[in-house]
Amino acid sequence: MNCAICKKNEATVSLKHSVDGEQKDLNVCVACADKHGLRSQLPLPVLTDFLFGVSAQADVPEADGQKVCTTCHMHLRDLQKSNLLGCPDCYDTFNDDVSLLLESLQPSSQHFGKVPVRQRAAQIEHFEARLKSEAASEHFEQAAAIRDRLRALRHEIQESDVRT
Amino acid sequence: MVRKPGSWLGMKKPTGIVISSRIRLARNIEGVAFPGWAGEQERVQLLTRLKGCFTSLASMPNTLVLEMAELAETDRDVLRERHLISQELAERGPGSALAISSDEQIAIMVNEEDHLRLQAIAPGMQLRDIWDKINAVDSEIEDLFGYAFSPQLGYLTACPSNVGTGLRASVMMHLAGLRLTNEVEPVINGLEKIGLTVRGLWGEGTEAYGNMFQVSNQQTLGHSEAQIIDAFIDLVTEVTEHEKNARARLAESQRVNLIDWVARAYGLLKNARIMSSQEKADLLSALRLGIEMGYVGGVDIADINQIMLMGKTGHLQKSTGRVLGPEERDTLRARLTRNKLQNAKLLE
Repeated sequence: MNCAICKKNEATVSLKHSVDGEQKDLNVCVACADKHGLRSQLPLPVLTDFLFGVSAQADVPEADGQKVCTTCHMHLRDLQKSNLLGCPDCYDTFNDDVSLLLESLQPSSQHFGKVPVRQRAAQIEHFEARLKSEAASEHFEQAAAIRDRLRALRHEIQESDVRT
Repeated sequence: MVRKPGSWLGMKKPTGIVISSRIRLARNIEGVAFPGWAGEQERVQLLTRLKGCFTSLASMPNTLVLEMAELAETDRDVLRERHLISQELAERGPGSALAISSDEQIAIMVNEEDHLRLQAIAPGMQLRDIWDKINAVDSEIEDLFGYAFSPQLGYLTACPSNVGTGLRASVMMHLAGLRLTNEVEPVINGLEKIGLTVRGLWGEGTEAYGNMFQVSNQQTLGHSEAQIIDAFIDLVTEVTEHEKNARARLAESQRVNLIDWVARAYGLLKNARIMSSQEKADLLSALRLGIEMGYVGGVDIADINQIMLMGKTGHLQKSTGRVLGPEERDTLRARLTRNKLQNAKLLE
């Protein structure tokens, strides 16, 4: 079978997807798959959106009742349809799926920005734990970035304590 | 507010290649479903909780809260044309609102894609100043409501592409020189390669008319707000330098052609009786360049910014108080432009 994109090479990569609920197979060659990032770890909707220009409903192996946010009842298939989460707790529920998406979008998976005052203690605790694990795994660059941010955060707390 | 003729774009503060700066922060309230997933009742309840807080913020005095469901379509058009609300918010019903400071420099969209989209806007290149402003508003709201936040991912947003700082910095740039030297496309491609988004303010991609481009950062996680803003400013400064160079080269090697382009636009803008919004945007680009390069006098950039705004459909309809057909709009747009340019003179 010829590749669905270049129509020339032998199709050796097979992708399953569904458009408007209908199951379809997409067979492409390795060159086209690489060129269009089809062998990357991107979630399927991103790929099908790119290929078909429609918001396609992905083939979700889990039966209903699995991978559902217990807070807002969003299903994984809802997330894959819209690429929007239902509530803040969805970040825990769909952690694996979101992480894949973040890897393709963001330079890092650690927040280094502003921290709300009431979250500062939790942030410091988190950074301290990360600092230990990054140092243990010899990720020194990441460990240094966390150490610097930790220092700055402690400094911010001291300053606001002085003001109040 | 929507009846007021001016806005920050019409300020008598000169803007150059960077027409305006904007920073927006995406924020959500903990324990509440994001607006796209929440029911109408939840959205209305959240707006009720938030409304009281907006009018008591010290960093955002004289705030007006406008609920989308209560606004006429023309009023929503006016807000959209001033870039105070998005198309998405304009289309939303009960529970969605805009809280806006009296100078229109701080605008908070409620229940758009996120619970809160805090925006600060200013003419020219003022990204660091407006970051300070919006940061202060953000800190005040944060004291009153708990934000959805994770030590790992930062501020949690409906779309993972905004998670982390939730910060999007953007500038509106006038790149007429680069367009004339056919360099606008490589510059845009270069910016996109290093992770910025560039789109025509009107029109699509590099086919933007009026030579107006909106440039913004894409990445929101992994760097601090100051790092994101500093890196963004560096890149915008670089583009500004490219544009200045293009203008200088044009003035030196193609001076007559350049002045001819400006003078033709001047003639049409001062005399035409019918003018579409696209034609007006393109001609104003030439006139804007003419003013900045000293070929046109008697009118300043703030006037051009005002003409740009008042010729838009929503503003035209608001000024006449009725719905206008396309022909009526084109005639009125041409008349308002002629009147505003009465004192304009060609200096070359």
